[in-house]
Amino acid sequence: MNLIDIPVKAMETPTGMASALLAELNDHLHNLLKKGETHVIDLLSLPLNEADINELADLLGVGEVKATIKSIGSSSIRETAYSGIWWITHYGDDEKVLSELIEVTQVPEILVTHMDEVRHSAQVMASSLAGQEKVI
Amino acid sequence: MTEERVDKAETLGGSLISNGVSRRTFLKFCSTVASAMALPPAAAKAMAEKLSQATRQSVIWLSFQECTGCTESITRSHKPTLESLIFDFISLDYHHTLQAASGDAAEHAREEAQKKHKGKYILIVDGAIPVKDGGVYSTIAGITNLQMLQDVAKDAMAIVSVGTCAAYGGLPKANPNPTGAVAVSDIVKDKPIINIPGCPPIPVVMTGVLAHVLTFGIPELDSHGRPMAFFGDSIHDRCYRRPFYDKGQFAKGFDDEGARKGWCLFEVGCKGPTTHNACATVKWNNGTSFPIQSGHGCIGCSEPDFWDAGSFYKPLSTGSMNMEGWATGALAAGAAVGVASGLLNSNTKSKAEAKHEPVTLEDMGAKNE
Amino acid sequence: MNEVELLNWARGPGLAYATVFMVFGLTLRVLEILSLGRPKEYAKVRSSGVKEGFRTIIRRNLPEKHCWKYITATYIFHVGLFVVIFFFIPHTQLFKDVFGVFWDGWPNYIIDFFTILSIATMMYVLIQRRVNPARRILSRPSDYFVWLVTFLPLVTGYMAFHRIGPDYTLMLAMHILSVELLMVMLPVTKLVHAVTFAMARYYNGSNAGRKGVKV
Repeated sequence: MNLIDIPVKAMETPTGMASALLAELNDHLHNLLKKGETHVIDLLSLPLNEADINELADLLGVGEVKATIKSIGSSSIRETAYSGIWWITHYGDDEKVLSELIEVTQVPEILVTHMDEVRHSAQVMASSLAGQEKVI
Repeated sequence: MTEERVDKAETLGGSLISNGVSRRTFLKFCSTVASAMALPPAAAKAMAEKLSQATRQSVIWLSFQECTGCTESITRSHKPTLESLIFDFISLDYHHTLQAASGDAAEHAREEAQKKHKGKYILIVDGAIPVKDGGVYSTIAGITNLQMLQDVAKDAMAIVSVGTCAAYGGLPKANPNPTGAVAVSDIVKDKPIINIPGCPPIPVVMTGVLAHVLTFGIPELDSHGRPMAFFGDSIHDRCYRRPFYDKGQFAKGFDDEGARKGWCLFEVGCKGPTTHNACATVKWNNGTSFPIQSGHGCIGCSEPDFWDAGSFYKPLSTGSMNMEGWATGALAAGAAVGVASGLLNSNTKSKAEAKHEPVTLEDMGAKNE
Repeated sequence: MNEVELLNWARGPGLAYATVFMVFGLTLRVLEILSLGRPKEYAKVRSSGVKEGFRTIIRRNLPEKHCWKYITATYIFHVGLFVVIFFFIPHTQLFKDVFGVFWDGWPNYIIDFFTILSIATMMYVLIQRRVNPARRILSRPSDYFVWLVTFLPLVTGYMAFHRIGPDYTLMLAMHILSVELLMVMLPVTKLVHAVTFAMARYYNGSNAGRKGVKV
């Protein structure tokens, strides 16, 4: 039996936090435009209920980019209808939400390949090429 | 293998990549931790950078008078969770519940780590320390908890008290405290101590604090030694049922109309207003829920002496002692003394009346008129 | 002693001692006063005094023309105190717990309104005590003490509920402790009028009536 199946539910109605957040995001978009400053809003640290989060998702809409990262659990990165505003959800191994962020940036940090990994893959590539040469 | 690669493997960043932990997983861990700790936005990236440059931190974990619930909490899952990644960042040199070695070998591992990383290791403690009768009530390998703590704490860089028992004495210290249990901070006075209370503490809180210590050092603490990031707000401050409290809508029982509507649990004993912890935001079991969300009041497990603060089911506005009969007793005693003093007074009164003499006009100086 | 220990003491032994002292003291005082009875009448009794007694209870509740503002203010804070003490939901839980009797509390916004009203009128009454020469002469240190003991629970309670001040746990402890001080002071100061006012007025009125004085 899941928590969902238990017929005890708190009644949730939007509190108006979503539109307040929209105003904040507007400021951050301008900051990104003028000063190149990026910003992250952590949705889980705000007193939002499910209805608020749904309302915010509706207000922001769906954009053209959607990326999925498979690490321990998955992560979903979506650009909203407002370019430069990204909605990021990190899931744990059992599909529970670990963190939910809104990032105001050109490319979310987590999508950028880190130079350490580029270096590592270059080494791997080099050794596999060396291996091929030997086989040939 | 080149010199450079050996160096790389020693830093966390290098060793994690070769162990198949991707940089993104790493960043995801850091952003989850940063989010949980309400760190500024740039912190996740900075934390990831710092952590990847760091070498593995030596950690000695001592378990004293405890139930292993704290260890269970952090290692609970058999699948690799994000929280358990912290074990890839540290070198857990001694944990007698988890380690493969036992007996003498285990104790040697501890002594070796103490020597090798003198002044640099982090000491994690779970459980209270019994000090009555020389501390005989809990011993490991013939060493009392008291001795072992003093010995290991001496050369530690910092101490993390995990769980309410280590932080404040917890259950062992509860009335009547038969073993004379005390908190770590009652014994060790000259080392920085971070308290992570809770019964048990939230896994990500433990992980977050450790990650913070590894990267940015000791986090800001409140007056009870708890990291402000997780314990700065009360459960009540962050409770999604708070609007019902403000409106005065309370569940009167666990199965009434109010309970079904998800109203505030104050009247059934919720201690949320006086309890500082992150349950309401971080939640439990990978964010599934927390006690109030599943219909039970907060019991206040991350506060000192919460076992002695009265019933978990009596409202915060009532007394913590069982007062049944006290008021009646006081009423009866007051009545008895009242009647007795009444009798005494009426005795005085009748004596006064007996002595009474009528006043004549002459007495009042009317003689000469 | 930190704020947690303070709260635990206030909710535990502190509350028990205060409750026992208050109930014991009030019972003792009421019974003692009642058992004193009346002095012997040496003059002819003109009336049973019952009518005059009840009249006085009511008459002394009516504001006098010359000081209606002051009396009205005292009324408001007495009503306010009554509402706040007996109808704030957490308080009803306390009465249920200690005395086993339960009634429904009122919504918080009503309690909030009466709290502010009581605080304001109590301030007004205090200022009047200082400003009015007659009242200033009549006021003794104990009057100011009694005012303070009544005022503190209101302010600390308001602050605790609205999360004003450094720490909720500390404010709640302060609120409960201030109430415990009030409870202890109730039987031993003029605050005892909370339970004796009706019988004292009845006594005075009926005494006058028996002597033939019109009230």
